[in-house]
Amino acid sequence: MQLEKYPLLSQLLHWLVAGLMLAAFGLGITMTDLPMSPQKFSWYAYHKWIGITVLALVLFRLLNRLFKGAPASPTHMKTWEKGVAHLTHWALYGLMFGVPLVGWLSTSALGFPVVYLKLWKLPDLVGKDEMLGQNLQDLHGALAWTMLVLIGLHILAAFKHHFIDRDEVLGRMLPWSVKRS
Amino acid sequence: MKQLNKKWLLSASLALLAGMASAQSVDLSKSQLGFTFSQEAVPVEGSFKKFAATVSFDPAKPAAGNADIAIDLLSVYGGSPDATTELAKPVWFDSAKSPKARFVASGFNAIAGGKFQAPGKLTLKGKTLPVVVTFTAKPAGKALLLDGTAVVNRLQFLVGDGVWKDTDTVADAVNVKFHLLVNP
Repeated sequence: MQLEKYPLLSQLLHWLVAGLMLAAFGLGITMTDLPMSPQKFSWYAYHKWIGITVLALVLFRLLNRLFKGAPASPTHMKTWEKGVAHLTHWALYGLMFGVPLVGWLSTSALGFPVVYLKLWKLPDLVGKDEMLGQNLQDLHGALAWTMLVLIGLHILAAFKHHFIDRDEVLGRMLPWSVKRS
Repeated sequence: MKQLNKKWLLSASLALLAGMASAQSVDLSKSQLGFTFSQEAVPVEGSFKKFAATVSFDPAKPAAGNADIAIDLLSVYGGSPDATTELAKPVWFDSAKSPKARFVASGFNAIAGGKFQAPGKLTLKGKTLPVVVTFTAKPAGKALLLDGTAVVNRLQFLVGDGVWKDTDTVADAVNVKFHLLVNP
């Protein structure tokens, strides 16, 4: 049975956001432990720019998903499997949106506005409050780790479909065609 | 004992001298001294919690104006707890070695837009260099409110030495701003 593929634009956004989030996560866990240095400031800046980019792209992805929907799940999937898959996908959407948003909130509260690509100063979402900023930063980290776990499950599920179920669930998110026997 | 007397005498005569120069008192509880620096193009607000200021100024006679401001560098707030700790270090203020900065100016002049300029000298981290302050004066009852700014190029004073000389990360120009309530 031939499964309908994701449109190319959806695929592009999926992989672009995946790459950016991975980069932001790597920067995020490294930069916080760096000693005070120009490098630390730069990495924070890159981390924030990537986060804002993800936020914008995810907004677009959400609209794309809401209006265009997604290809139907393969028929062999049990109802609970479909339920878990949907739940994970929507949780990922929520976190893709929530993690950068909470990051933006925290940096606003900490008194460091985001100046996107050193060009555009974004509005502060909340006034300066270091305690609130610290709490939001902790939340930002906790949500990012939660997202990492969900991404792990998402990848495992894709591999399960590909190697165990031998269906085209992974293939429909790949621009090249994957022949299934 | 003798030593103590001498000290007392010295401070008493200094106080007398200050009084003779008809210096006006600055209400520090209603005054602020802050600064904005640019970090990766992000404006970050800091301040000095403690400073002493003696200002003598009559908007009608700016040339007779003078100011002497002593800033306690250990009272700095750098915009975040991390930056505050960092600023005390030798590459920045080196505040253990030189805990105070001082700005002395006299012979103010009126410029366009109802503003005034105070050409002065800033002593910071062992260096004394010219710094020009631009300010406005507004009456507040019998007192006078002075609001002003000055651009201090941090690298001239070796504030942010070593790796921090890179102005891509922290810009050279620091905008100092003050709000002083000068009692008559």
